[in-house]
Amino acid sequence: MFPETLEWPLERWVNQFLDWLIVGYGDQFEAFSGVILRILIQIESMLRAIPWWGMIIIIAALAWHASRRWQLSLLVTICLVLIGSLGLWDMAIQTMALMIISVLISILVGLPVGVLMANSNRLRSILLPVLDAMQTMPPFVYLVPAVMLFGLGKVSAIVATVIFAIPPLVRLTDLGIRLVDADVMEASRSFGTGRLKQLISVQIPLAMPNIMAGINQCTMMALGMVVVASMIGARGLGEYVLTGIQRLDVGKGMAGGIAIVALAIIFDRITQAYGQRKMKTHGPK
Amino acid sequence: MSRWSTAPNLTTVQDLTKYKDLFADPEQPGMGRFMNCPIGWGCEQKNNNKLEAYGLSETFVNFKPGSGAALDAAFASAYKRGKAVVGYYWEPTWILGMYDMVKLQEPACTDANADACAFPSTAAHTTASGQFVKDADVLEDFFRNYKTSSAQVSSILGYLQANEGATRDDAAMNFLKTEEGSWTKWVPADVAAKIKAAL
Repeated sequence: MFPETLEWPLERWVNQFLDWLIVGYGDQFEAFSGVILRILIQIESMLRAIPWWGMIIIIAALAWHASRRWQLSLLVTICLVLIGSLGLWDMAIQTMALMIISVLISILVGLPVGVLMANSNRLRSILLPVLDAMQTMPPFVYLVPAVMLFGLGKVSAIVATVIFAIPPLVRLTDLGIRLVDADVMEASRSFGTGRLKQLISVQIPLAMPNIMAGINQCTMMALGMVVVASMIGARGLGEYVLTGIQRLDVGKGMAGGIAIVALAIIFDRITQAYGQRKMKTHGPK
Repeated sequence: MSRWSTAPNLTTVQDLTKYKDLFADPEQPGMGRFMNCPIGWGCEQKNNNKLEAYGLSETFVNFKPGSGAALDAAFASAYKRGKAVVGYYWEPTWILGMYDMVKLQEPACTDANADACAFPSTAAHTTASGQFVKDADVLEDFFRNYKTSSAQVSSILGYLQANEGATRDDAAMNFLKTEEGSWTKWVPADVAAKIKAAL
């Protein structure tokens, strides 16, 4: 047995800290949650306003723009029709809105953090274990406090999704920028390029294939969180799957699961295609 | 529902329609939020029917928290922050032992009102085999007299939740100290006197 004298009361500290946050700063958290929710409701109502065939056209066009291959457009069309034919269109839109905002926040936060990490070995050595913890911590450990701070439902789901999905984006951004050839950097410096200019017009474009791979990974992880997020009351495809599982309705669970896979294929192939095109234009020859 | 809330006239389930703004659902502007049971629980199905039967589904979102942990977290944080919350919960539980909730009145069930009526309360019985009674006749009277209420059990669970590290023994001691009027009826007077002396 481990000596009791060496135990420390982490549990109590965490509980007290959380209580202190809830009681003292609950209103601030609610205000923040309100802002996110307004953006989410905007995106959701925008997506819902588009008729189903309009959505198919937009996504098929996006697929073509990403890949310049009609086969990909056909694939995403099939996936969307499949979702619709399972009667899950509306839920898929809700899930899509949740994903879009989670991925946007992840990019907004993850990209700068990745860039900073690439430029500082010290920051990197601090952040790497934090990222590892974010990916391995069982989600419910932070889902429940998120619920207490941000309320049940979509905002907590977004917070949890961002925590889970951001690490690969940060890692791959860091990697991409570190992989930029030292010779290229030196050449650009010899032309008198400033630090910021160098970052924006040399490093980030050259790191783009890796960054796109990071966004792709981030999107996939976000989709993976959909069912878990439904356990804190986020509606959409996850809730449908959860209902199926909880009621031992295997068919319902499977239908929801297939729709999630179809969404994953759409997001995955489109973001990958963008990454591959960047690879052709900017990547190593 | 929290007593801190500004809803002095809220006593019945039917009154809820007037208070949809107090229990506003941030995700659905203009609607209230009713905290239902997690999906797949028996009470979730029942509450779905009740919301329809009471005609509340037009003003209240039937919000399903997805898991028991999330439901508890929602109630606990609403209480800590002094926010209004309305939903379904049951006793005996630590939630009801720790937090002061008000039960909204509902009519009793008849053949006429179908789903728009209260959950019946369940009686818990103490049973023993005939052999047990024969072998342990000293305990028979104790078990015959043993009687707790749902509120008492909730308050014991609440004590365990509120006092970190408290064991079941601690909770039992606390019960003996605070609920003398109840347990003294379970045992003969001389035994009760002995226990009191030991406390």
